[in-house]
Amino acid sequence: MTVSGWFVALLGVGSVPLVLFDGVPGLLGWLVVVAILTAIDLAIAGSPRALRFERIAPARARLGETVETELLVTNKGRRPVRGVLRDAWQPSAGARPTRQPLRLPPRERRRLRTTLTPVRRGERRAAQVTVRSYGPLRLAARQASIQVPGAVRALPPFTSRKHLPSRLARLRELDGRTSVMVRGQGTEFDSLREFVRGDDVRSIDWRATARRRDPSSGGATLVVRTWRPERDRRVVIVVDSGRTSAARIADEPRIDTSFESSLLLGALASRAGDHVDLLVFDRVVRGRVQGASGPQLLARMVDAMAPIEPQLIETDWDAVPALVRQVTSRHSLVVLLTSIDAPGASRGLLAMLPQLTRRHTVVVASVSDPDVLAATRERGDREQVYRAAAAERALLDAARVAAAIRQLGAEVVSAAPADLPPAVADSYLALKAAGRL
Amino acid sequence: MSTSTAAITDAVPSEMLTASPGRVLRRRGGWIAVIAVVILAAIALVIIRSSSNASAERLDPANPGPEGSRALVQVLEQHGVSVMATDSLSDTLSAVGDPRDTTVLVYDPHGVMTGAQLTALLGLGADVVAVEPGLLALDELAPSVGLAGELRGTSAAGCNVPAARKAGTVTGSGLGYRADSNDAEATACFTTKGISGLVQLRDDGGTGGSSRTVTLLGVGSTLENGTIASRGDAALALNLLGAHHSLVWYTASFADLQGAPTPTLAELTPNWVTPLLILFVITGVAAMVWRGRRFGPIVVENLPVTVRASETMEGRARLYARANARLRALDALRIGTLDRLARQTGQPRAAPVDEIIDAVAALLGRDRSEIASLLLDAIPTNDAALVHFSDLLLALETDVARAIHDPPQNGQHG
Repeated sequence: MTVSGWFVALLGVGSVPLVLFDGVPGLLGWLVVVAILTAIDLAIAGSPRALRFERIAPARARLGETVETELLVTNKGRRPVRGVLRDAWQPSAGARPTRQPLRLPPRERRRLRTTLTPVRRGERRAAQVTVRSYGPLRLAARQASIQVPGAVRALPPFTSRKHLPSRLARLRELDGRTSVMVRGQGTEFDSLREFVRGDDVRSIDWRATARRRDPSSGGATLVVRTWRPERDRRVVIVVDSGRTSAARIADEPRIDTSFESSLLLGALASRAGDHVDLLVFDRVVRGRVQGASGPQLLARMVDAMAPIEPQLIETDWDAVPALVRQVTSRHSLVVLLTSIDAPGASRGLLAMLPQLTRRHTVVVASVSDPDVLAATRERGDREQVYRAAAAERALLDAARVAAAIRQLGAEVVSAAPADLPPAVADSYLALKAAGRL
Repeated sequence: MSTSTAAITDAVPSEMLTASPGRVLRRRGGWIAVIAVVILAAIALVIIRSSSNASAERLDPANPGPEGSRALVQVLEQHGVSVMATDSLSDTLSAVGDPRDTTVLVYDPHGVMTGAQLTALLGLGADVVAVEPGLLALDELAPSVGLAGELRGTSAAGCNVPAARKAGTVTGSGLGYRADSNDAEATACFTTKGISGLVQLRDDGGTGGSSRTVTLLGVGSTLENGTIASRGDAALALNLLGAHHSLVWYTASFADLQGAPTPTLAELTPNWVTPLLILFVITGVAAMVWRGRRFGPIVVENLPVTVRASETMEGRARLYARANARLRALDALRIGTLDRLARQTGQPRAAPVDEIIDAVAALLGRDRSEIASLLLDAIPTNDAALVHFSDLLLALETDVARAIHDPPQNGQHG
């Protein structure tokens, strides 16, 4: 139960009869009048407990997009419900409007719309519906909260998909579908065709040319081999969801940058015909996508990533080789999305790497902080010089870790948050071109 | 992919989060009952305390404390003396039935009685015991007796007043009096150093031959519960007050104050002012309920962990600054500069410092020792030097970059 502004105003108006009827009798009389009116009002107000709710909400929404949810309200009671309804979602669901007027005659149904603009990734839940039902005098209201569960999964935005077309074009260049042929180790033989001007003379297949010698004309038709990049390779993406992935760089947690990079890499590699597996891991596997292909892959990847938040625990790198072995025993590309900051913090990663590099091609991708880079150039006063020195020191630490990783036979990709996804994709393309998958 | 299949949830009646009034009563009934009992007990206690006649006033016949006189009154009552306590002159006058068989004790702790009132009291014709009368009261009761200040300690009766003689010695404190030795009517008792604790005046004439006494009792503590048991105090008190069958114990109060009654604030203001204030308070409370009533429970949001990545860098910078680690800071800057210079001059990552210095000196056409000092040897002795060296390092980098992109003309050399 609650009272309205009219109730307060009505109480205040009581000062007139109070002065007219000289004091205590006026006061008591007025209070009795107000109490009776309020009781009548409450008795006539429709009960919010007689309402029934159905929620229609989309299961998924991309972060930053707006989706519409509907709430069907049915009045099973005998009196009309007039009042206000609050459909309470989590604040980060970005629900608008938060309060809606409701006029619902008995045995009727209304459709109320709430738009959601999630501002955070993950499961965004509806908590309850609260209805305040006023009486005809609008003095007092009956109020009740009813749990109406509902959830919308806010998916990672995949803003780096803008880089996808240019990388796909580069992939096609590798693929022999364009006129430019590539040849290199690790690419596999595709077909034989006649030599056209511009082909690499080294790709002429002399034995095939000899077989194809046309006896009628006697002219030699040169035959070249065409190549295409290997297909059906495996790419295993391991995203570190441990302590260091919670750090916010350029207003984006490291883990979100890692997700963006894995989505771009996943999209690219699945178009290139490779199998992509995703593991999100700190001490236990937080998310896993295995055996998906085609458009299914990205859908399953975003779905797996959506509810994952960084955990404030140290990542157990020792378990990673075993995990990768569970996914595949074949040689594959293992992409570790983590952070390389300081030699001390990366000891676990460095100790584990040789096990992976022995069997697989390994890329370690890390976000670098543009703030640190900028700090090295700002040297106005004493404080800034010390800050620049600390920044240089941090860069040096990261460089040492990167050098150690390279020494262990893995590739290092390090870039600012916005540049990391295309950089990882480029490194994948380079490895593919070199036939190292 | 952004919005896939819509999910329809909940067609059955949902869980009601708000408990109905009946359920609230059932669930919290115990607590409500406990609170109600506590409130009722508090109200009952207040009523009982206010209705009980125990007080804390000195020499109050109902006060059981050390300063009260309830012990004396009870003993008197046990011996057949009817004691009546009054607190105004009019009550006192009407309480006295037979003046010949009545003792009137008058105690005026605040000195509110006027001469006319005391005269009216004396006019009754009963025996009067005035406890610790003040200067003004003495003028009316016994003009021949003067106030002699404080009295303390033990003193012997030394007089012929029966009550005092029976008491022998009393101990106590109060006011002392000095009786005019020429006055035959006045008998002074318990005198030490000329100050008497009790003065009795005999009044023979007045009202038709009946003799009555006016006793000024200075040692009021003889009547108190706490001290009445010491020495002859009890004897004095009982004999003094129990001489007749009834005792009127008159404690003057503000009801005896004379003067035109000034109107109180309540009488000056109209009747509706207080109810109006009450109404405003009620309206205020209603407004608080109106604005403060929550529209359903708060929805909980699990906030993510937020860690700024550059915090370790900032922390290290503060450590450098606090420790004045100038050389260490400058070396860090030098390592960064050397790394960039090596890259700019096209040397391998692991090139020795000397080679980098040589290359830079050759590129800029500057003295090698000057550059070596900047990049290796110079030690900053104060903060100004550190900032200066840092600026020089930056300038060196820009110079090298400019020299590479925009090589100096040959003519300058030649």
